[in-house]
Amino acid sequence: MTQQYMLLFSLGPVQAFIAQARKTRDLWLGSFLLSALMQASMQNVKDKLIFPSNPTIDGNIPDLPNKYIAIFSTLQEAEQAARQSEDHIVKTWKDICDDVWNKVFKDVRGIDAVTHRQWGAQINPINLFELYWVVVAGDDDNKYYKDWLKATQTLFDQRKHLRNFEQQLEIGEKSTISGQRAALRGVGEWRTDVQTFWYNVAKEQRSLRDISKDGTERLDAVDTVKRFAHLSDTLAQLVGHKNSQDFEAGFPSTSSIATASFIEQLLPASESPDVAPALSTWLRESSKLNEAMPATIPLLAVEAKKYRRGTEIIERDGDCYFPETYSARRLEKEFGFDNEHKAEREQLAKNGPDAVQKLLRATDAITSPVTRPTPYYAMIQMDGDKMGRLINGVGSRGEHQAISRALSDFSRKNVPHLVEKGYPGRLIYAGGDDVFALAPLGRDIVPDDTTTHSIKNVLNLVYQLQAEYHNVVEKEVVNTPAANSKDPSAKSRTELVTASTGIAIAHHYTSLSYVRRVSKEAEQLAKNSYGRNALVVTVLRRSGEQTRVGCHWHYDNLSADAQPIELFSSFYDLFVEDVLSPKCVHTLLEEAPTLVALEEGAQASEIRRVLTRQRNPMKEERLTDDELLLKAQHIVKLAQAMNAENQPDKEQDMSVELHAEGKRYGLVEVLGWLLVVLFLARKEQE
Amino acid sequence: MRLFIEPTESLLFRTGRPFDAGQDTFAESLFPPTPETMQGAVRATIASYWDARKNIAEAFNDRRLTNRIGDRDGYGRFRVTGLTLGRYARTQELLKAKEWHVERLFPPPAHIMTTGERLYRLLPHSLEKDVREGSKSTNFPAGVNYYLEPEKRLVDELKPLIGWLTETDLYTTLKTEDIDNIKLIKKEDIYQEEPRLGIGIQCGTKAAEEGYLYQTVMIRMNHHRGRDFNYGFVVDIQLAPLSPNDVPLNDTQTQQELHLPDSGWMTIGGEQRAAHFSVIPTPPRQVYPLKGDSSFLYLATLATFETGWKPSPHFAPLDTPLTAAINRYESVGGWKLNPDDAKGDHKVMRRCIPAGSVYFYNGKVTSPQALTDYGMEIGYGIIYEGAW
Repeated sequence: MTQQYMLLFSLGPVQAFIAQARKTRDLWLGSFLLSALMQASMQNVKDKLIFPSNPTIDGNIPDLPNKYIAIFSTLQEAEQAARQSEDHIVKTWKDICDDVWNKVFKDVRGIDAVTHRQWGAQINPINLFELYWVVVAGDDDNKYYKDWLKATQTLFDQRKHLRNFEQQLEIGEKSTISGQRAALRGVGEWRTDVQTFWYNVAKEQRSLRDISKDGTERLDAVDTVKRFAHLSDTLAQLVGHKNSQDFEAGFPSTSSIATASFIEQLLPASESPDVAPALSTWLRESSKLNEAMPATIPLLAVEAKKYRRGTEIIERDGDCYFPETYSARRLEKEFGFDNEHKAEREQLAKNGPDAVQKLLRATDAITSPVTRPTPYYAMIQMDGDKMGRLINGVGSRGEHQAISRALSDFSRKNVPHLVEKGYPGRLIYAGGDDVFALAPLGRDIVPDDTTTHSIKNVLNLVYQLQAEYHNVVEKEVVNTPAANSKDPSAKSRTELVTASTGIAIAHHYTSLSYVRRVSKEAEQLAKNSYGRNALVVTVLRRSGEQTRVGCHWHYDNLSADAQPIELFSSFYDLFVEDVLSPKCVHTLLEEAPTLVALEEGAQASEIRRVLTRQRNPMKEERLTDDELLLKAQHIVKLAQAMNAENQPDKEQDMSVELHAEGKRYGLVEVLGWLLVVLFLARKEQE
Repeated sequence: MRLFIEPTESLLFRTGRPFDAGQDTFAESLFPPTPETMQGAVRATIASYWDARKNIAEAFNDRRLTNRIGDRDGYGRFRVTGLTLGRYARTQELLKAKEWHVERLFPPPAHIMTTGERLYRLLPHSLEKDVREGSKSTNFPAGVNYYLEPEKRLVDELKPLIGWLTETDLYTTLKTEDIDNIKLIKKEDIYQEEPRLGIGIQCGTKAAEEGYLYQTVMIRMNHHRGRDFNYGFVVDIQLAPLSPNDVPLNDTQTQQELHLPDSGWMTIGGEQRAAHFSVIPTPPRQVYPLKGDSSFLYLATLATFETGWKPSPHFAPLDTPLTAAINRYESVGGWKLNPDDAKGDHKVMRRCIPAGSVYFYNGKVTSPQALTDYGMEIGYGIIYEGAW
């Protein structure tokens, strides 16, 4: 027997640190900072690591988990490593903060002793980070590895029951992002003084994207570090760059993500002589916004190179495709057209919307019309199910390391391949079993290249993500039968390799922190209300109305065509191709309270009747009567499969209303899904 | 004196994030409201009923009122001694079972956790032997040598219990009784979020103001049709005796002193949403025999200490718990209104121990009236003793 020591070290708070964000770049840089700090924490334990398998960030995707597990020969070594990890985090964080201070505030008018005091208190790692670690002695023999790992995880959970903290009083005007810490300021305490301070800060920044020019964004020290971390040489060097100038800090806005599908179609259309004049006018007018930025959506960056004006097009923010962006008020507030530039502002307020309209009319009129840009986008959060149980069940150190490698491969290869190469999305974070990404709702061009995944919409994207997660990780899991063989719902270890996903679909102007919260809640609902291995989508309409639907990825005893994503995708195609009118969904939802009480055959018959009535008579060959009947039957079968998951004695609690909280009848849920699919197909826009 | 406050509209209990027309266009709501919010609403209600001839600003010029409930700079004799959610049964079936009464709801103690299927009570276990033998080590804060472990053998991961408990169920958790039959009241039973889109209106022309589109996520209580219960807030109020030798006022005397009718209307939270209040009888505080050898203290409301997570030294010996079950701190500030106009100032924002947190002690301890360094007058630091 060889006594060894397992160290489990973690850095937090993850959600709270990332969630305080106003711009998508804040989300990404927040994640990046945490990954960078974790990388720093692991620099002295690389050869001892069990998890993660690779302790360095790969490219510009934050991909390190917020905890590591390492094994040492002595207790002293393990404790020393934990303390060194703490020291490395503190030092790296302070160096990054110093860089940001020097780049942002060095020449700002109004810096005072108060500013220095606030800065020092707020960036103090003791006040900010939760660093927890435990060490547990164990026997290195594979026979005991499982118990050893479990004991370590248990002690770690016990450590987290007491989330100790230091008091920190925040006096005065609060940050417009966190709302939890006071906004940095000079000597004046009043809001106007704080606003003036931030007006002066904004004046010194080169990019309009960094901070509002009029002082309406008033940040605390932590918000400031997250907003300007890309200026830090320390951060850049940590991820292998010479200095911050080499760090590709561009990140697409919500508008750019929402319009990515439109841009993907606009690129080839830009070569058309019927589009070129309108495009030139629009490029000229939108360039006046000074919003040019490097390509931030990898798939579009690749596509743009194929077209003459491709680079110019993808350098524009998605905002430039919406006429309201050019309103005089926004030009003044967000784009720096103050009263000294009044004439230019008025000119652009007139010409900008005209240029957008002309471009859209031109792209409508070509042989293959371009679907107009949508203001909605999707935020995706995926998380592996029961990871604790899966990892605690490993039979040996070798298996643990193999699963670590699989998780690393999944996050570094499969996830970027799907989200950024196979779809015009962008990753905010991809580490282990966690994926956090932004993506357009649908994609109107599906490449012919068979090596690229044919991902038509965000539902296909998340389906493929969870499928690849299962495939990659399952291979490394040593299967053992279910612990309780008498329980039919008990699962073997490989069956535990599943993931749940939450998607929030939101208008590009909806508060980002709210969208993030809703997407996280959707993921939690998928796990807790829909029983894991599930997907929940919440549509946040601009009007305030919400639709939330959920389902498992797969139901036993259903044919492939009746499985949820397959069925919903087929309806997506029918809506996109105008084979079915959107009215069919609304009619069926109105009938749902009656339909749920009918027997199976009658339900299918009525659904078929409604679908037939709402079928485009010009496209009957696309959806024949037989196919239509089959679709109706699939809807009913899927609804029954969903009902079967609810306990029979709970049926009286099930709702017939789509917008009710709690459990609904399966048929209501499926029809709700069709409503969401309709939204993805952009047939139900506001 | 006990008040039951039943909202009739959607509510907004703002976070610390600024929300200013034309600048910050999004506000979401906390739930439940902080003691700051509730005391503000109740004191404003008392002031509005104080003298029918006066508006609130004028009422606050009356020293007889400010002696009782304070002003912008203090709380006078005003004390909040209980601050919880509450509910009463609506359905005939439930009404038959018991007389109409408001049942209080409490945040679950943090040492009660769940696997999703079963509840577990966590109790302190010493880590000292393991540390001495070199088999375990961790970075618990200085002075903490105990960790929390489930009473029963655990087969799955534990998660915090999210929701509320009835007063009866809370007492079960405070004693050493079996907790298997405790029923959690979920947030979906009590409220739902209601996103709203609004636009600023110009004062003069009453036309929509360009660029003043805003979004709020409000709280709608009692959203279920055909629900079993109606939910609201329960606030217990006392007026501190004028001198230590005075007998505290009873409920009737308190109500008379405050000129408060038996029921009426009030506003609560942001955007001054309407709620109905009723003065209801205060049942005697339940006496529950505690059989364990040692005590723990459960915080029913937020508390804040200068020392951070641990009670300050002036609470000795309560400043040296064996260990504690504390979830992540909550930052709470608030807004100091000026009754003369709609303006005001940001209050100091403090890190607070979340309601539901539990401190474990070795042996019996005597619980103080409130365990907090700030806001004991307005409902911070309300504690209940438990045994283990």
